[in-house]
Amino acid sequence: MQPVAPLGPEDLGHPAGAEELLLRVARGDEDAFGQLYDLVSGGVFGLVRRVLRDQAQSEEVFQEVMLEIWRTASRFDPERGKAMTWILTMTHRRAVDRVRSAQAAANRDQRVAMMDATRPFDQVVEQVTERLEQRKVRRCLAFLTDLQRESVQLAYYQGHSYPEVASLLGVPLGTVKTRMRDGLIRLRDCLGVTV
Amino acid sequence: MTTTPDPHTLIGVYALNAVSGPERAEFEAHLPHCPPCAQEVAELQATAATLGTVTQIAPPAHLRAKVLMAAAVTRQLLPETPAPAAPAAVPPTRNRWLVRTSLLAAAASVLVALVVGVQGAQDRRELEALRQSAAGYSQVSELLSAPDAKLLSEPGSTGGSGTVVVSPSRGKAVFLANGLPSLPSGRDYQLWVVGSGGPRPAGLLRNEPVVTDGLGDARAFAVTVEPSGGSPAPTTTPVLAIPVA
Repeated sequence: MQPVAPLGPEDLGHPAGAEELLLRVARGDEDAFGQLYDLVSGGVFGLVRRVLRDQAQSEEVFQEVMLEIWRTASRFDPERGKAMTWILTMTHRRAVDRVRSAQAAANRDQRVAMMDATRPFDQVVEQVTERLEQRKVRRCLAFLTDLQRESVQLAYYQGHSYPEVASLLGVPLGTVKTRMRDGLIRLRDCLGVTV
Repeated sequence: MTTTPDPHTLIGVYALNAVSGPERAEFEAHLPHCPPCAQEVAELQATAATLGTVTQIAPPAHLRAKVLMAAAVTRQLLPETPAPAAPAAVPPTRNRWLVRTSLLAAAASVLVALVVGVQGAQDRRELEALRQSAAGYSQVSELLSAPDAKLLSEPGSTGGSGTVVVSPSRGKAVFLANGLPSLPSGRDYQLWVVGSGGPRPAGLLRNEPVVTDGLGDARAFAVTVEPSGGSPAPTTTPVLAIPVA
């Protein structure tokens, strides 16, 4: 197995300055919020779009997330993690919550669910920008077992709940829980993530 | 089979947001009592977040002004602080008196400004402009007499300030700008009423009060710099915003 060089914080998609900007935003600095928007909007919208796929819904959730960053900036604690982690964790949760509520609605209306399922994903993939740290993430993902990687990716990128992942992969619930945790631990160690 | 499985098995699932409902709530309730769990959750969330950096897509450009304007009129959460000793309650009558007094003081300062303006007026053009302003200012004093009239002021981010008198019962507001920096030619200050459907154009600021009818669901007033003559939707970040609801 080829070892992968551990990542520095600047490689992990934490653009320099996000922490400082977020701290200024917490003090009501609208100018800093504009700068933070320019710095993180591509990452936030990219993640929302990847999970939700639907353009209109993505735009809605994106605006909710950006406003939530403004509103709750005072809760960001630089002692407890990076600004970009805080922002993307919030982004992912909002996007997944939207998937779940959209799913609940779609379950009542099968026709809508089928329309969503056939929406093409290609436009998103075309716009993906490959960067150094992204290649490292991909390389590290290769160190996971197939079951670990599939479990992690189905949950993170598709917004599936762990019972759904278990059902998709045809494995018991307990197995999926373990694979997700072990997969993330292996990824953490490969990427050298520290908090 | 146990009814409450070991919560630690949920750490990975939780970091991936793959658990919801009561199970998620239960796990979150457990977290503050388990520092090692919280530490592992933080690490695995940071790990999961690196997966989120893989896709970068620029959002549609028009969303920037929308988001920044929404922020300008959205109150931020206060930082978490240790609970302070309860302050002595101010009698409500005193508060009402203060509000009443400041309203009157503000109305008086508007009148003083008008009188000073009349004294300083040198030529007919200025007098004509003042006559129009006077019509606006009389709307101000008229509106201030409404029982639910509110007078709100905010400083502008580039200097100057804005004041708005709002009466929800009359569905009416008068906006006055004061001392906004002058703009290069080809640019105008434009006023917006921000409602649940986003900003609606409410006229250009030309050194006189702007009267707005049909307030509806107005949550805020905002001012942006626009190309001369105004725009159908804001194209820049507001230089001034006054939340009214």
